[in-house]
Amino acid sequence: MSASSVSLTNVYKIFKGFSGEEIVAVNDISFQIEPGTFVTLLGPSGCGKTTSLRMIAGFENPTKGKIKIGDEDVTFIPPWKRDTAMVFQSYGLFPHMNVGENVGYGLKMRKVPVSEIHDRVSAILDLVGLNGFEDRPPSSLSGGQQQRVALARALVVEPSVLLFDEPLSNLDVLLREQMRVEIRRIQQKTGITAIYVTHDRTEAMTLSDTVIVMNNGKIVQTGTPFDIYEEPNSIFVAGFMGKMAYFPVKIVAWEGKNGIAELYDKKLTIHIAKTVTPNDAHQYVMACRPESLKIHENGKGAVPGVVATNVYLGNAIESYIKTEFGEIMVKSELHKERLCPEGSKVSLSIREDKTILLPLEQGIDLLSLNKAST
Amino acid sequence: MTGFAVAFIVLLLCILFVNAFSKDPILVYTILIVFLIVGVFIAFPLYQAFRLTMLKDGVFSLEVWKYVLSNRNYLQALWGSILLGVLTATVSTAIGFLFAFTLTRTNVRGKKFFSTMATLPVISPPFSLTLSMILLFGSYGLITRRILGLTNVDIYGLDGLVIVQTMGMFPIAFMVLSGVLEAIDSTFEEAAMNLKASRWKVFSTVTLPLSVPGIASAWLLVFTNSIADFANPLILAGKYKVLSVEAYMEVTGMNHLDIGAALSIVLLIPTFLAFGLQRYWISKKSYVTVTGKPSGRILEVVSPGVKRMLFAMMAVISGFLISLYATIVAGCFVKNWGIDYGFTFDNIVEALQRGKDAIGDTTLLAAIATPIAGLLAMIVAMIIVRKRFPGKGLMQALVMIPYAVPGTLVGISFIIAFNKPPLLLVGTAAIIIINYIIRELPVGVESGIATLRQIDPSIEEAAQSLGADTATVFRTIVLPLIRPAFISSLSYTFVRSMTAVSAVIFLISAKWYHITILIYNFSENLRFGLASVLATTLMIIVLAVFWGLRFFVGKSSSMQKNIITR
Repeated sequence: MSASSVSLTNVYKIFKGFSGEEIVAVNDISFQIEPGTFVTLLGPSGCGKTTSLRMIAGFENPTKGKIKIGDEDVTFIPPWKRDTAMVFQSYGLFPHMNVGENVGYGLKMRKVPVSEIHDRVSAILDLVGLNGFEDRPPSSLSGGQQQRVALARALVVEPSVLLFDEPLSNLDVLLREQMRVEIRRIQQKTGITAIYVTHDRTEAMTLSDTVIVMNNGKIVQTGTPFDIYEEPNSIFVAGFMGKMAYFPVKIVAWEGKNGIAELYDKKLTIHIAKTVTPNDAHQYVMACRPESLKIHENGKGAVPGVVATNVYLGNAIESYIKTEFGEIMVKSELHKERLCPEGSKVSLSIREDKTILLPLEQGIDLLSLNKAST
Repeated sequence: MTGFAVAFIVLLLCILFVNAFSKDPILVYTILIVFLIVGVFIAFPLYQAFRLTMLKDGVFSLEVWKYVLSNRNYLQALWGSILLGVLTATVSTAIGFLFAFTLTRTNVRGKKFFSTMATLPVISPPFSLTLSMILLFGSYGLITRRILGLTNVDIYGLDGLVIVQTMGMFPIAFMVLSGVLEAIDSTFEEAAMNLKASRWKVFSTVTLPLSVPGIASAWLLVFTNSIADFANPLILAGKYKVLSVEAYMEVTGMNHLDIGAALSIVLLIPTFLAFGLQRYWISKKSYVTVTGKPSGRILEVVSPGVKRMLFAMMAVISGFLISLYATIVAGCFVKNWGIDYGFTFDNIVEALQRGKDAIGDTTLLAAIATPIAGLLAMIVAMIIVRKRFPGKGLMQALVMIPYAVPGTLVGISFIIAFNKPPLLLVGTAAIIIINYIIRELPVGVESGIATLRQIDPSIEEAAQSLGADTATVFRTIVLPLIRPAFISSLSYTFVRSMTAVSAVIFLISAKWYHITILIYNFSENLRFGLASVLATTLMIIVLAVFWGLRFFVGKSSSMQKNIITR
C-alpha cells in the first residue's frame, strides 16, 4: 500500500442556484496532507467539507484551483481513474451483490485474477472482523457490519488515499464509538493516507492527526486536536469545539503574546490565540471552557453572579450562573455538600492559564454568544 | 430554414463537446447521440409540421391558419372534441372514484376482482370495445335489434363515444384516485369521527376535500386522453365530428397535409392547457404526501346500506365490461352477426389467413423497437437523473414531448419530415420502428427516472471510485438496480406498439402493414367476424406479455404506475 500526499491549491467550487445565483461552496482553500496521516475536515453542515472531499474523489470538478494526489495533477481526472476509494455515509453497498462481490468489485475493475480476488477479499474481511460473510447479502447485515463491508471494499483495492464521508453518522452512539476505534486502528495498521469528513467534534478529535476546521467554504483553522480545542483562533472555532464562556475585557497592556486584561477590578494575564497578532485597534473577548471556571460562595472570584439552575449529570454538575454578561455555565465535579443552592449569590474565578483572548468580530453581541454556545 | 433545427442542435452539441470532453468521453458521446435522436426524430418533424402550416406555395403565409380557424366544420370538430373530452372525463372520474373509494375505504368482497376490472381496459387493444359496442348496440346489434327489436337505433355519435371512452379510460381515473386515497391517512377520518362527525360528514368534510386535487388531476388526465383518442372516434363517431379524425381525413382523403397538421396542432392546445394546469396549479394544491404509507387499517366510513349500493354499482359496471369482452370473443365464432348467429370457424381461418402478414409485420417491428426503446429510456433516465450537462432541461423537455403530443400529430409530422432525401423514410419499416420508439420513450424514461431517484447515488459513486467508468456503472450497477422499470418499459413498449393506431395509420405501407389497421379495415367493411378474430388475437398477445411480465418482475405495481401516466 503506497500512501500518497494530497494537496489542494486555491480551490474554488461555485454552484449555480435555482434562480441562477452563484453559491460559493468552497472558497479558495489550500492545504497539504502528508502521506500516511489521518486528516479530518470538520465543520457545520454547508461549510464545504463534503464538497472538498468529493472534489478530491473526482465526483465534482473544481471551478478553479488545482488538486494533486502524490505528484499527479488529478484536477480533471474522472473518479474511476483516480487511486482513491471512498467510504460513504449511506455505505453505498451494491444491493444486488453479496458481501464478497461487493468487496471484490474494485479488484474486478482492476482486472485482478479471480483466484487472487478471492484471497484478498477474505483477507480484508478478516481485517474488519467479518470473515465468512462473503455469501451474505448486504441487507442481512446490521448497520455497523454494513459499514465494515464498505470499509473493506475501499481498503481492498489498496488506494493511495482513503476518503470518508461522515461514515459513522448513520450508526447509533455505542457502535459509533466502537467503529471510531476500529477505523483508527486499521488506518494505523495499514499506514494509509486518510481524509475524513465529519461535523462531530469528538470524532475529529479522537481520529485525527490533523484537524482542518471549515466554515462558509473557507478553512478557519488547521492544527492538532489539542491545538484546536485548547487554542482556538476564533469565536467560531472555540464554540464549535464545545461550550465556552465569554467575558468582555479591556486590554490595558501587551506583554509579548499575552495581554493584560481588566475584568471588574481584577487584572488577568491571558495569552492570545497563536494566529492572532496583538492590535490595540481590535476588540477582544476572553474565553474559557466551563471546566476552567470555579464557583465561590464568597466574593473571591472576579465575576459576581447568582446561581440560576443546577443540572445534575451523574459524573459532574452544570451550574448556570446569572452574570452581567449573560448566563454562564460552569462545569464542576460533584461535591454535593458544597453545592451552591439556586438563588445564592456567588462569584466566579477564572484559571488564567486555561483562558484565551479571541478577537471579537464586529456586530457580535456577547450576551447572545453566551446564550448560544452549546 | 430547413436545416435550422439541425444546425441548432449541432451548435448545442459543440458546446457540450468542449465543456465535457476532457473528463468522460463516453458520457459526452451518449449525450450527443441522445440529442441527435430527439432532435432529428422529435424536434425536427414537429418543427416541419408547424412550418408547413405557415407556408403557402413555399412562402410564409397565415392562410392555412385563417382557413382552419374560420371554417365552421373544423370549429365544430374542435367543439366536438372538447365536449366529448368533458363528458368522458366527468363520467370516467365519477366511476373511477366509485371504484377507488370503495376499494380503499370499505371492506367489500371481491376487491381483487374489482381492481382487475378497473385496470384491465387500459391494456385492451384499440377497436375492441368499439367493436363490441357495435355488435351489441348497433343497428343490427344483438341487444338493440335481436333482443329489443329496435330498428331505429344509432350507436354512432357522441353517446356511443362517451360510453366506449369511459369504459376504456375510467381505469386511468381509478389508478390516480386509488393512489391518492391510499395516501390519505385514515387517521384524519378517525380524528373527525372522534370529534363526533357523522359518516356523511366525515366523507364530505374530510375525505372528499382531501381528494379534490387527485380528482382534478384524474379528470385532466382522462380529458387529454379523450381528446387525443383517434381509434374510437374513427369507427364510432359517425356524423359527429372530432378533430383527430378530421385531421386524418384531411391527410388521407384530400391529401391536405398542411390542414391536417394545423388541425392536430389545434388539438395540442387543450392538452397543453391541461398539462400546465396540472403541473402549476393542482400539484401545488395537493395535501397528500406522495411517500405517505397507507396506514393499513380500513375505517368503515360508510354504512352497510351504502356499501351494498356501492358494491352493486361496481358489479353492474364490471358486468358490462365483461359482456363487452365476451362479445368480441363470441364474434369470432358467429357466421354473420346481426343476421345469422350460426356457429362457425370460418372467421378464424379467413382472418388468420388474411391477417398473418400484418400480424407477422407488427410483431416483428414491435420486437425490434422494444429493446432499443427500453435501453434508450434507461440511458436517458440515468443521464437526466445523475449527470450535469448543458441543455439537460431541453433534453428532458424534448424526450417528454411525444407524451403530450397526440399520435395524429406525430404521424402527420413524420410523413411531412421524412418524405425526401436524405431522410426518405416514408414507406420503410424504419419509420414505423422509430415512431414506436419515440412515442413510448417518455413513459420508459419517466419510470426509469422514478426508480433511479429512489436509489442512493452513492451506490454509483462507490462503483466509480472503485474504478468503474460510466458505461461500466450503467451495465453493472444501474441496469440491474432499475431492472423492474427496465422490464416493464420493455413490455409496455411492446404492447403499446402492437396496439398503436393513431400515428402508425399514417406510416404503414403496402409492404409494412399493421394489425390494428387491418382490424379497422375489416370493421369498415362490416366484416365484424374477421375484426373480432384479430382483436381477440391482439388481446391474447397483450395478456400473454403482461402475465409474462408478472412472472419476471413479480409485482405489477411498477407496471401500473407506468400505465397510469398515459
